[in-house]
Amino acid sequence: MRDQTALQGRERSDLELIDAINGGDDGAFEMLYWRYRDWVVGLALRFTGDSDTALDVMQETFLYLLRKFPGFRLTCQFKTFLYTPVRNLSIAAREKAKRCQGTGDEIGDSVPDAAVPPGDESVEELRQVLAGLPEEQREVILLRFVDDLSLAEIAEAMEIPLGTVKSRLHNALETLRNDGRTREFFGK
Amino acid sequence: MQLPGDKCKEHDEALRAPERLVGALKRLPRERVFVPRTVDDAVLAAARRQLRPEAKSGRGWWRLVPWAVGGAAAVIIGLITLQPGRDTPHDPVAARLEDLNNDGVLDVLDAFALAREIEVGVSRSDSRDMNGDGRTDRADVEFLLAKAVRLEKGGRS
Repeated sequence: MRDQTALQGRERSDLELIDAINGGDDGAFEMLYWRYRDWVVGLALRFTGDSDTALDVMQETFLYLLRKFPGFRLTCQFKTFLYTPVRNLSIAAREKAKRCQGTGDEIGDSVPDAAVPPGDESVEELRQVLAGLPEEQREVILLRFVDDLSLAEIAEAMEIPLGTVKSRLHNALETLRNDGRTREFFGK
Repeated sequence: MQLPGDKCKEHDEALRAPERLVGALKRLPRERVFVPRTVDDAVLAAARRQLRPEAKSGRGWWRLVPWAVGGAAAVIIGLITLQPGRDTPHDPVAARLEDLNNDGVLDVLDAFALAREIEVGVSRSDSRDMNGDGRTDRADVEFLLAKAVRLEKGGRS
């Protein structure tokens, strides 16, 4: 069912699906959900560092999206639109967790830690260097090269000036270029 | 590397990453989050409940919608007011039971929370038997969803 829905969803653009949802087509919403669910959960995990909280954020994000219909108009890439509620809901969830548990963890201070395939040690070193970057630099570099957002889209998503995006990206790349563990990626 | 959506303004070589780096970034190990099926079901059920009635409404019916909603709300409020049972939102005990995430609001997030409790098997107590059928199962999630959506349509509770 899911595969079939996802297959059909690939044939229609995000804008077409949103038009259909505005017309009351819940099947189009389902296609959009399958298309972006894992990305939203992954982004939420990047912010919260906790899979249960990431699930909560994912649910609330799609609920927030649902409330936009009918009458929702997409004026940017859909990932750009989703980024803001995911970030804000993640921050709220972490604040709530801190109040409940009294922990002092910072938001988004980690790159998800998972098993590294054998022979991929350079990727593991890259992960370590990324983990050492300031959060705002790390987020820019991941949005740019993992999520494929343009600089303008990152600026819009993070609600910061384009120049700030450029400087953060520049600084992040400089760190990677100068770090012995990641220098090889730059052909040095 | 030129990525989709880039504009020609992005000429600054310093902001480009080598192919090898981009490839490695995309291969970064990512922790997979298992999404329980009940969570998917709850989100999609919320979508169906919100979107379907509007899909069925023909263009000419739109003018009647506010009246229909108002009438339905009046009937629901009347039923709720007359019903002495646990569903009454003014009943603080019932409201507390249904507010699973303890945020002071009965909404679909409570249904999501119940769905996840059922998924991981921690909700077998009578306190989660929302529809009063003696069991705690997906019917209770549906019940809570229906109630939450009803409240949201008439204004957030």
